[in-house]
Amino acid sequence: MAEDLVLTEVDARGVATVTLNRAEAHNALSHDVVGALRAAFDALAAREDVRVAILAARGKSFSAGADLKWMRRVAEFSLAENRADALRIAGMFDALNTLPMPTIAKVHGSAFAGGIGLIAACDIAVGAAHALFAITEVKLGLIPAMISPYVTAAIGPKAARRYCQTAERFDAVEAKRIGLLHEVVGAEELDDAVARIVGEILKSAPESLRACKTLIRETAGPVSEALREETASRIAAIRASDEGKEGLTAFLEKRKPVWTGEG
Amino acid sequence: MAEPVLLCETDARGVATLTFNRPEVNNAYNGDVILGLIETFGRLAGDGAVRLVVLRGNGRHFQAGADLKWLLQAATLTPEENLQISRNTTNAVRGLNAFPKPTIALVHGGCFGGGTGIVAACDIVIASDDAIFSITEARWGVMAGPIFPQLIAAIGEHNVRRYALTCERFGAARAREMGLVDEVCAPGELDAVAGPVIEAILGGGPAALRETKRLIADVAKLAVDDAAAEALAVQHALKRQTAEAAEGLRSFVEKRSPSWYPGSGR
Amino acid sequence: MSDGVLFDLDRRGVATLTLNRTKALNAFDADQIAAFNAAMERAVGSAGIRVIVIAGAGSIFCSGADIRYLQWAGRLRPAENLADARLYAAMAEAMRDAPVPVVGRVHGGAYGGGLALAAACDIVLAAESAKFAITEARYGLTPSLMVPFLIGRMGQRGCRRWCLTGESMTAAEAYRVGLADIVVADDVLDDALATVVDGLLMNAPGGLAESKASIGANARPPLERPLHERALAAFAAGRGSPQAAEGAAAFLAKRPPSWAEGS
Repeated sequence: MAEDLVLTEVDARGVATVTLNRAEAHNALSHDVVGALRAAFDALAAREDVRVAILAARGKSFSAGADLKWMRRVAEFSLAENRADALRIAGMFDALNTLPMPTIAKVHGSAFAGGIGLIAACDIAVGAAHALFAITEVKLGLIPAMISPYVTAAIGPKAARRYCQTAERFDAVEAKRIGLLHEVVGAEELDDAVARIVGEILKSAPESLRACKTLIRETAGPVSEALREETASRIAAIRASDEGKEGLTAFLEKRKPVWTGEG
Repeated sequence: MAEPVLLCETDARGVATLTFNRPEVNNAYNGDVILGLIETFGRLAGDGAVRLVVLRGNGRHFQAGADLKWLLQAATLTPEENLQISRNTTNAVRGLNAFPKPTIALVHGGCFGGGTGIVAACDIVIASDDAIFSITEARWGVMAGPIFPQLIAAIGEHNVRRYALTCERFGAARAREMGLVDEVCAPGELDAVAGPVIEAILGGGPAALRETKRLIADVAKLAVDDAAAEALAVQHALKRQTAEAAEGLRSFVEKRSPSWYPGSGR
Repeated sequence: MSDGVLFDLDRRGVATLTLNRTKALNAFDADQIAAFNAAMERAVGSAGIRVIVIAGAGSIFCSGADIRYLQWAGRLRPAENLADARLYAAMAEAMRDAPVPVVGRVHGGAYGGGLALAAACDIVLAAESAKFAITEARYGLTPSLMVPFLIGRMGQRGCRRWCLTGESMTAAEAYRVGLADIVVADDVLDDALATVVDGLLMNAPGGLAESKASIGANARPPLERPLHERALAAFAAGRGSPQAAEGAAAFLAKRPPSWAEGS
């Protein structure tokens, strides 16, 4: 059921925790998960009493891998359907990125593709030392369109040029070096590390923090609607291209795509 | 001497290697090198067989920046000829930065001045631990403007401020800390470290790679538009023809302190 | 000339401005702001000026804005508040616009507006025991004026964490995130400063002036004038907000502010 995919709770201090709850699918961002996340973020945005929001996940991974069922459906989409689907995902990332209160990603496990977008769209990210990361889209003949504004802002254009083009896996230490994570701790210390940061945030005036967060975004350059629409158009175009179709088909057929010379 | 200043060859996988080939001057660039870079990258961009480009340098160093003797001579040209040199330099770095396929720089030894801009304009940089970098232009009274956009995108405004103002040398580890370099290895290991990176790139769809690189450039606003490039070139050219630059370049050739150095005492 | 900011100019053209309101940990009030602005004008106008050094006397570099001054400014009529805010902003602007390198010598601590002053320097040397913190929100304020300088140093990613948590960071951490450029043992801070200054004197004055201006012009994001006016207005208005009043009152009464009760 859609409402079980993402759980939200808010404690007496105004600390919210939004938890991805589809462990068996490694919290892959399926159509329904995206919808549930969007609903959760919208609900938090409307609350005056929430002072900080933690984004967490159950199971082994934070958000890793592609949702196979959804990818099969997407392979059938028309250009217009692709674009609409992409815009929906872009809207979810935007809702997270613009949440008025400070947000903390509690990255207890690996994150690939869209999962990295979730981390990058949070203000603060604390990761477990064993977590692995990769921006895998090019291996499927696709592009990391919707996450690119957030990922580029988080890790900078230079690291983005490397990891978006190579799709290489990188570890938590590297994730911290490039800026995706702010802190790396042992898995057993993760809860305490997040709790400590929550404690620091609660020392500040909520309205001041909201104003500060907005100001940082406006100064650095917000992710405009025009940009989101442009990224949605680009992913739709590439999904419809021969190479995009070959990449997706190869993935679903569990074989290497033709451009590797082995397909 | 008939040795080409730039060597270029492409292997069966589509990996093109572009090698700076003026080892007798530490691969310092002159007009021929700049024009060679523009022509070669233009050609490689349109060659469907080429999947990615590796840049490296022959001899003991990667690339020591501008050939200062050439610069001294260039400063005596007419303003228009001088400006054209700066336009070419600016466009060479711009073109490399916007090259539509993945680029990997393999850096050993010295990487000075314009060399740091070349590195900042590449997608992936692997350096050996003996590599030394510096943004040297202000030391000689010339301007590094044409490489500032790429350097700022690579290492951030504050690092460019610090290193372009102090002209200090920094090593591979520091370069990696700042984001100019992606991986540091032992001397002689550059190809071994580059191998898996090349394999990873070859695993990506060529069109997807081109669109991904374009996506990041657009999202991060990496392109230097024509008006901005012209402004950088004009400033670069004008500075080179100042008395200050003449003194700076002379001090290099004559291996002495420049006239503006007041001495270390108070 | 006020002795709240000491001025020295040596024969090489090195000007040193030393914050000297040591009884208040070099906090800025209206007089101190005026003194600093006057000293910067004097430095920039000096014949043969080559380098400007900013330092602090006493136990720390600078503790930021004086709380009583903020209270006073917050009670001004809007037009006067804004006019005073312009003078406050002028300090960092003068440093950014100076045609010579500005070097900060940070020992002890740089907090709030004190950290902003350091961030506006071209090169920051820090003693390894120095601490840094962006404390504004803990006092119900927003660090509106310093955000562009902080983004230039820490990127949007660093700003989102350190501005929103208000955490204290060590010099080593400040170096890692870009707030400090050179960190040395406390007892060699002045030697390191002398070495940096000497190195700067070896470089062409015209080249340095043009480089500094060109880097600022090519910085990302560009510092746009309408955004700056909005930040100025937000800073001025923020000083007069209920949160700011509570923050100041709580500090002076040595009690936690209302939002931090029980945290």
